[in-house]
Amino acid sequence: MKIPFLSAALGLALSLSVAAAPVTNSPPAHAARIVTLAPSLGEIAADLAGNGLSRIVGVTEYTDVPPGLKKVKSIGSYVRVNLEAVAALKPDLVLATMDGNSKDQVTHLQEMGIPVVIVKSVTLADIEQSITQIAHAMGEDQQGQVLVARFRAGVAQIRSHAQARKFHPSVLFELSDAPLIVAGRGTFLNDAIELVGAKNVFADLALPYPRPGAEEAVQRNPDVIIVGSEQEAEKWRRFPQLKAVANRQVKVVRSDALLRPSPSILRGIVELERAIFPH
Amino acid sequence: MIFSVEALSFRYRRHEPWVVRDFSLGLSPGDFVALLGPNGGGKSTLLKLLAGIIPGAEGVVRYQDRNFLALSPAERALKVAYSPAVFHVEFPMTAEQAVMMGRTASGGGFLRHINESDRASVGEAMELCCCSRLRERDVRELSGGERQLVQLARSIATGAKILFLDEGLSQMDLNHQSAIGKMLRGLATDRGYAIILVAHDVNLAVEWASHCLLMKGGRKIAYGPVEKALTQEHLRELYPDTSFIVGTSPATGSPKVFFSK
Amino acid sequence: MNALFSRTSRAYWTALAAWALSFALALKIGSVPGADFDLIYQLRLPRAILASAVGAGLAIAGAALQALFSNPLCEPYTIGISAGATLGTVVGAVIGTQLIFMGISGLAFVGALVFAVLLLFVARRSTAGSSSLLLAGVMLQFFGASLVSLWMVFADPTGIQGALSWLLGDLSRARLDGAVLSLALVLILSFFLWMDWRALDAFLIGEESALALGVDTHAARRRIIFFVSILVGACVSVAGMVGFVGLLIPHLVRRQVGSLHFSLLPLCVVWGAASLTFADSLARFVARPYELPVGVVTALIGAPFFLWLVMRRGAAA
Repeated sequence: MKIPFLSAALGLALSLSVAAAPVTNSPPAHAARIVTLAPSLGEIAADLAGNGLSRIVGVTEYTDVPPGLKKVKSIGSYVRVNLEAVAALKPDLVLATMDGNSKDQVTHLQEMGIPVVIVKSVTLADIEQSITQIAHAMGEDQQGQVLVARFRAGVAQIRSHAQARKFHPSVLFELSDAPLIVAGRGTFLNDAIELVGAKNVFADLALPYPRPGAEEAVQRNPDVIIVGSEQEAEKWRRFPQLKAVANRQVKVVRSDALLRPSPSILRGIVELERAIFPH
Repeated sequence: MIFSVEALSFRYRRHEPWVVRDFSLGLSPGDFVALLGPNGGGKSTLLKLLAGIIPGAEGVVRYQDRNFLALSPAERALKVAYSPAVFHVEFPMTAEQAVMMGRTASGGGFLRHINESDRASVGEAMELCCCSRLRERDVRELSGGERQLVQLARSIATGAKILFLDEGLSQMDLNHQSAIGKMLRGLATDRGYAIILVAHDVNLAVEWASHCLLMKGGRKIAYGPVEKALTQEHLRELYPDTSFIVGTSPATGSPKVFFSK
Repeated sequence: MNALFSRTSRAYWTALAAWALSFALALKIGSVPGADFDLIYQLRLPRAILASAVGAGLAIAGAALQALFSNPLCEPYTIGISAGATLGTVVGAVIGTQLIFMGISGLAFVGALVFAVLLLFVARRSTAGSSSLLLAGVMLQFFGASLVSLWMVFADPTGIQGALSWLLGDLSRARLDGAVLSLALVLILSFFLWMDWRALDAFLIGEESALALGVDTHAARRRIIFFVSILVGACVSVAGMVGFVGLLIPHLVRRQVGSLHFSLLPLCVVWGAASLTFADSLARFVARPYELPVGVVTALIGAPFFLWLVMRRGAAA
C-alpha cells in the first residue's frame, strides 16, 4: 500500500499549502479603460468621469445609470462575470465590490495582472468612502471631493427632516416574500431606515439579508412594512391583526435606486421617507 | 488423496442453526462425485466453504497436506475452480471474453495482457465444452444452457484440476448434458481431475459419476461409490416424502430411481 | 504495421484525435471573438487542461465503480465522496476562508479524503460486501445534497449563485498551475486504477465468481475505492459536481471496445477528457456573454443522448 499512501500524501500536502498572496497592481494615473463589476460602481465611475464617459469600456448587466452606460459592452452578471470578456477589453482598472462579486473571480483578475480596486458597500459611510476610493483610483480626486460633498449634503438634509420628527416607527423592509428575505443590520438599507428617522425592526440580526420566518415578522408587529410590489402587499393584508395592515401602513416602494449603493441612493431614500412619513 | 476435509462446520452467526455440520470428505484424482440432496440442505454452501468463497468455517480443509483455506485467493484459484449456480452479467461481454476470465489467476502482473498460452487454454476449454461456436456471441443473449457451457469452459480454462460445479448442467438440454457429462467423466478418468457436481437429476448424474455424496440438513448422509451410496434406505432418508424404488438401468447397469405412484 | 491499424489501435487513435480536436476548439472558441495570445494562455488554456483532467478522472472513476458494483447505473458520486467535498466547501464558505491554492479548493479536497477514509472504514467492517457499501454511499450523497441546501439557506442571496454554479459543475476557477497539477494527479491515479484491470474484469461477473477466479476481492475493493475517492475528491474540489460524464462515457466506450478494462480504462480517460473539454467549449460559447455551468451542458446533452441510445438498442450498454 505504499504507492497509495504516497499519492494521498502528495495530494494532501499540495492542497493544504497556503495560497500565494494575490498580486496587487496599481492602476495608471489616469485610467482610460475602466471595467466596473457592479451597477453602483458604474454609476460612481461615470459620475467621476463626467464627459470622459468613454473611459468606461465594460459594465455588468443592468448598469443603466447614467443612461449613457447602456451602450457600453456588457460583461455578464455581477455575481458571476465573464472573465474572458473582461480580459478581452484589456482594462487598466477594474472596480469590484466585496458585497456581491465572486471573490475567486476578483482574485483571478488580479493574478492576471489587472489592477483591481475593491470597495465595501455595507453602510452609508462605506458608500461615501467608496466614492473617494474610486476617485483616487481614476485620478479624479478633485471631482471625488465634489461628489462626496454633494452626498454629505443630501444625507444631512434627510437627517434634518428626521430630527424634526417625534415619532420613530419600526419598519420591516422586505426584499422578497417567498422565502421571506428582509433587510438586517448588515446593509445600507438599515442605514437608510435609520437616516429617515425610523427603526429597522430586524436590526438585531447581523446578516445583511436574513430569512426570518413569517411568524417572527408577525410577532415583531412592525409599524410599517415596505414591500416591492402590489402582490407582496396583498400577501401581508391577509393578516389584519398586524399594526401595519390595520393602519394601512403596508407601502409599496419600487425603487432601483434604493437598492444601489451609489450616490443616487439618496433619491431612493427620499422615496422611502415619503412612504414611511407621507406628508 | 489430493483434497481432504475434516470436521467442517459452519453457521452464519452464533445464534443461528448450523448450515454444515461435522462434514468430512476425501477426494482423489479421478473422483467424479455427484452431490445430491434436498434444497437448502447445504450443498451450495458446502462447495463455497470448500473453495474458500465463504470464510469462517471450523474444521480443516487440506490440499496435498497444506492448509487450503490459508492460501491466497489466487493460489486457491489455480488449484480449485468453483463455478457458481448463477451467471449474471450486466455489461457487454463475448463468450470468449467470459471464458478468458478464467485466466485471471494465471495471468501474472498487470502489464501482461492476453498471450498465446491464454488463448490456447481458452480455445481448448471451449472445444471441450461444445461452445466454440458461441465464441463471439454476447453472453447476455445466450440461453441458460449455453451460459452454463461458457461457465464450465471458464472453470476448465483456469487450469485447476479440481472442479466444484454448483448445478453446472441443470439448464442444458439432454444432448448437451450427455456430452458434457461424458466429457467431465473423461477429465476425471483420463486427466486425473477431481470433480464435485451438485445435481438434482439423480438418474442423469449417476451415469457419469464415480461416487455419490448425499447431504441433508448440512450433514453427510452417505458417501461412496455410486452403487454403494445410492441405495433405497439412503435415498429415502434424503427424500422421505417421495415414493420410489431403486433399480438398475437395463442399458448401463447403473442404479436408477424409479418413481412409484 | 498490422498492429497499428488493429481494431483497438484504431480506437485509441480515434480517441486521441477527438481529444486533440476538442482541445484545439477549446482554445479557439469562447465568449469573445478574436482572442489574443494572452487571453488564450491565461484563461482558455488552463480551462482546457482542467476540463481534460476532470473529464478523464470522472470517466475512469465511473467505469471503475460500474465494474466494482457490477451496476451500470453507478457513477462517480455513487459512493458519496462528493458529500465530503461539499462539506469541505460549505465549511470553507461559512468560516469565510477559501484556501484556494492554484485553483484547488483545499478544504473540499480534505473533506473528500475524510469521507473516503470513512467509507473505507465501512468497507473494512462490513462483511456483507458491495451492497452495503453502495447503500452507505447513497446515504452520504443525500447528506451532501442537504448540506448544499443548508448552505444556500444561510448564504446571502449572492452566495447562492456560487453554490448553484458549484453544484452544477463549473470550470471557471481554472488556473494554469492548478490545472496541470490536476491533470498529473488524474493521470497518476488512473494508472493505479488501471493496474487493477484483472480485478475489475472479474468483478463484472459478480463478487463470488471474482473470488473464485482468484481475485482478493476485499483488498481489491478497498484499493479501488481508495483511488476512486481521491480521484473524485480532487475533481469535485476543483470543478464542483459535473454530472453525466462519469455515467455516460464508460457506456459509450464499452459499445466500441467491450467491457474489459485493459482497454476500457485508458479509452475512458481520453474520451472523458475530450467530451468534457468539448462540453466546456459549448458552455462558454452558446450563451455568450453569459457562461453556462458546464454541468448544465453535460446534462442537457447527456440525458437525451443516453435515452436515445437506450431506446435504440434496448439494453443500456
